[in-house]
Amino acid sequence: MIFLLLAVIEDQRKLYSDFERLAFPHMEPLFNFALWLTGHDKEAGKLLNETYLKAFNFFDKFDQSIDSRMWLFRIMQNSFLSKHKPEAEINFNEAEEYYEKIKKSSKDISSLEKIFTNNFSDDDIRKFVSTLPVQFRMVIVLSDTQNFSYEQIADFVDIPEGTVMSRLHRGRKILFTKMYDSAKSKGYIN
Amino acid sequence: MELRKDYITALADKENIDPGQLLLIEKEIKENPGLRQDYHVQLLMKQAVTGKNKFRPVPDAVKKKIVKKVSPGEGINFLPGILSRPLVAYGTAAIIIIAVILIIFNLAPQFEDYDFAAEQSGENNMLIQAENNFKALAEGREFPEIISKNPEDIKIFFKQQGVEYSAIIPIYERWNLSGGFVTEENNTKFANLIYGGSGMIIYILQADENIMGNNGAVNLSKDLLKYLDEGNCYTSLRNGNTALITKSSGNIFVVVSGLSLEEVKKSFCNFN
Repeated sequence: MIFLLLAVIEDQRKLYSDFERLAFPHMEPLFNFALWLTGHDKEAGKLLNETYLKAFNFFDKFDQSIDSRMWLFRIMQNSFLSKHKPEAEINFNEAEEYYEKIKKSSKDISSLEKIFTNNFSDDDIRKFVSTLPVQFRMVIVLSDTQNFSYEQIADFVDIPEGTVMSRLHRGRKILFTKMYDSAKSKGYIN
Repeated sequence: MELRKDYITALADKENIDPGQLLLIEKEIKENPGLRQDYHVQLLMKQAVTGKNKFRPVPDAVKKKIVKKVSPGEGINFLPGILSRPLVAYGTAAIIIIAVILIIFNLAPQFEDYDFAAEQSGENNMLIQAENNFKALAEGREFPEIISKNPEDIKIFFKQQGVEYSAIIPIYERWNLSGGFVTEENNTKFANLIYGGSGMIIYILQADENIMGNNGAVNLSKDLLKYLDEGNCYTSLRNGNTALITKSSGNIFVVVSGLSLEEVKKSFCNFN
C-alpha cells in the first residue's frame, strides 16, 4: 500500500505540474472575465478560486489535446450560471421603448462618446455591464472583453449565431440606457 | 429580402454572418438616420466596453490561495485528489474494511483471562444457580435426595425424577460420590451431584447444552458458551468459593467448591 501511495503521490505531482503548465497562464484572462461578469473584485476572486478548484478536481479526466483556455472559460461560465440563473422572461419592449425615447433626445452620439469616455472609469463600465440580464451580459463580455467571435460565442453558450447577434444588439441598447441615465443623474448630460 | 435591424450589430462587430443582409443594412444605414444612430450606439457601446477593458492582474492573495489549494502535499484538495484515484480509492477501501474487521474482532472479548463470571446474571443463570445451590447445601438448607456411591443408581434416580437428558456421573479417585438431587427451573428438571473428600463438599450442576439460550430453562452468557464450545474450561473465584464451568458430551457442568482453583482445574476440567 505504501508503494502504491508513493506512486500515486508521484502521479499527483505530475498532474499538478501539467495543470500548472496548462491552466495557470489563463488565470489573468479568467480573472478579468470574472470581473466583468460579477462587477466586484471579491466576487471575481471567489469565482476564479472556484473555477480552478473544479478544474483541478477534473484535470485527470481532461483531454490535454483540447484548448485548455476554452475549457477553463466554460467551467467559469457554468460556475457563474449555477448561481446567476438567466431571467426566464425579459420585458424587452419596455426597454426598447425607453431606448427609442432616449435616442430621440440625444441626436449627437459623438458628444455622448466623449461624456462616457471622460466621466466613466473602467470600474463604472464593469458595474453597468454587471447589472445587465445574465444572458445579455454573457455575450457582451465574451465579445467585447474576450474578443470571441460570434461562432465561438455560439459554441460556448450553446445558442445559434443569430441569437448571439440578437442578444448583443439588445444588450448594448440596454447598456446604453443605463449609461445614459447615470450620466444624466450625475449632471454630465443636460 | 426583409431587413433585419439587428444586423447592424454584426456590421459593428465586423461579423460576416450573412453577406446579403449586411449589404442591405449598410445601404439602409446611409439612407435612414434612425438606423444610423442605432448603428452608432452599437459602436459606442462596443467601444465603451473594449476601451475600458484594461486587464487587471490577479490579486496575489487570490493567486496564492489557488496555488496553495492545488499544490501537492499542501492543498486541501490533495488528499481528496489522491483518494479519487481508483487504485488508491480501492486500496483505501480495502484498508478500511480490514480495519473494520479488526475492530469488530477486537470488540469481542479476549478470552484469555476474561472475566466471564461478570457477565453472568439473572435467576436463570446456571452459574448463579449453582452457587446458590452450593450455598444452600453448605448451610444445610438443601439435602441430597439420593445418597449413593453408585453412579448407575443415581442415573436411574435422575431419570425417575424427570431429568430428560442423559446425566453423566463421573468417578474420581480423590473425591467420593455421595449422592444427588433434582432441581426444577421453568418446568425442566436438572441433575445435581454431590462429592466429598478431605472435609470438603464438591457440588456439580449439569445441564444439556441444547436447553441453553435466551429462552432456555437456564442459560449462560453467549461469550462463555462460545468459550466452552472451543474446548476451554473456565474457572473463577467468587465469594470465597471456586467455580468451574466446562462442557463434555453435550452437557454443561458447573462445579462449585471450596477447593483451590488449581485443584478444581486439575480434577474437573475434563469430564471424559
